[in-house]
Amino acid sequence: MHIGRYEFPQSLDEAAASIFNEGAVPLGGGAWTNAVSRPIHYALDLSDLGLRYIEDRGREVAIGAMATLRDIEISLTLDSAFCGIFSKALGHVVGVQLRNLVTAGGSVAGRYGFSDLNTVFLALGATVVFHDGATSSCAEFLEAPRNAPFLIKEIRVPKGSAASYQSLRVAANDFPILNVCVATAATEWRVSVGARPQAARLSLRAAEFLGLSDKPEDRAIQAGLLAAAELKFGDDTRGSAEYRRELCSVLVKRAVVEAGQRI
Amino acid sequence: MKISISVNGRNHRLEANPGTPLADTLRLLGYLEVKKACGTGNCGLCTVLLDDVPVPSCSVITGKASGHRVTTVRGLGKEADDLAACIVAEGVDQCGYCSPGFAVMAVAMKREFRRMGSLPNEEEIKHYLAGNLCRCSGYEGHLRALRRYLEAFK
Repeated sequence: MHIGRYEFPQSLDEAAASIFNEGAVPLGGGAWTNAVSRPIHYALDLSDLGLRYIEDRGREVAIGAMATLRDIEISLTLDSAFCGIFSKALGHVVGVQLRNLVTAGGSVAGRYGFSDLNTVFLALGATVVFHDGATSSCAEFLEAPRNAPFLIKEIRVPKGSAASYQSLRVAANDFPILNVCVATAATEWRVSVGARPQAARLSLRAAEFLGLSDKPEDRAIQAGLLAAAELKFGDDTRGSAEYRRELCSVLVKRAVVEAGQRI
Repeated sequence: MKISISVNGRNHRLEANPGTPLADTLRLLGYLEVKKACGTGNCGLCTVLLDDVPVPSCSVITGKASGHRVTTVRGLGKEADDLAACIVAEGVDQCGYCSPGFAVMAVAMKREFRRMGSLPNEEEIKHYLAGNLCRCSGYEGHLRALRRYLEAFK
C-alpha cells in the first residue's frame, strides 16, 4: 500500500490540524493497512502523542487510543475492575504478536464488525473521547455515518458493572462467528451483539426485559430470543444469518446467566 | 520517506515507501531469515522484535519502524542457539519454515516471564504461542523443545 507523506505529530492539536485541514489519515497500529488497496496521500503516526495508557480514574478506567490489545488483555487495572472480561474477550484475537500491534483507538475508529473489543465497550457503556474533549457514547459512535473526520483520544469505561463475554469461533484464533457481551449495573442491563458480521449493536428489548426482574437467570432464555429477534444478522464465510440468529439466543442466554452470577 | 532502522544492532538508512510491510523491507535489506506467509499477521512466521516487543512484521508498516530497533532471529544470538539445540534434540523441525518466527516468539515469551520473576506453565506457553502456526507438526514437539529450553532457567 502506497503512503505519500508519513509524519509523527507531536501534539493532539497538531494531529487534528493535519486531519481536519489537510485530509491526513490517522493510523492506529496500522495492522489493517495491508488490506487497504487505495493509496494514502498523507498518514499520521500517532505513536508520539502519549496516548498509550490505561488509567484508573476512580469511577471509570480511561484507555488511551494507542493502548494495544495486549496492553488491555494483561492490564491488572482492567482485570480487577471488570472481572477479567477484557482478558477473556481479547485473549483469542489472533496471536500475541498481532495484539501487540492493534490499538484500542484503531479498533473503535474502524468500527470493525469482527471486533471483540467494541462488543465489550458497547455493553459496558463506554464513552469515546475525541481530541478536543468532545464525547460520544460508544453506541452512538458505532452507528454514526463515516463521512466526517475525527481523532480519538481515549475510551472511558465506567466501573461497577457485572459482565460476561461469550463468543463462538471456527478456530480458536479466528474472527468470531458471533460475539456477545452482557453487562448489568444496578437495575440496568446492556446486551451487545457483535460480528453479526456487522459491527456490534445493543439489543434494547432484551435489556428492557431483563431490567424488569431481579432474577435474571429466570429471564435468560427469553432475553436471548428477544435479542435474536431484534437484531439484524448477515451471511459470510463463517456462518449464515440464520445460524447467527440461533447462536445469538444461546450466547445471550449464557451471558445473562454468567453476568447474573457476578452481581 | 527516509527510513532509519537498526536491525540486529546494524543501522540502515534507506528511501522507502512507509506503507511497505516491514517484512518486505527487511528481506530487501538481506534479512532473509524473516519468512513471510499469510501477510495478515495470522501465522506468526514473520515475527520480529520491535524495540524488544514481538510483532508480525508483515503487518507492521515500515514507517512505524523508522527510528526503532528491530531484532530478527539472527540477532538473538545465544538465546536462539540454545533454543535451536532443543528444537534439534526433540526432532521438532520438519520443513523448518516456521522456525524463525517461532524462535523469536519463544525467546520473547521467556524474557517476558523472567521479567515477572517466573516461567510460563503449559497453558501459558500455548496461549503465548497460539499465533505461531506450523503446518507440519502437531505442536507436541514444539512443546517438548520449549520445556527443555525453559528447564535451564529454573
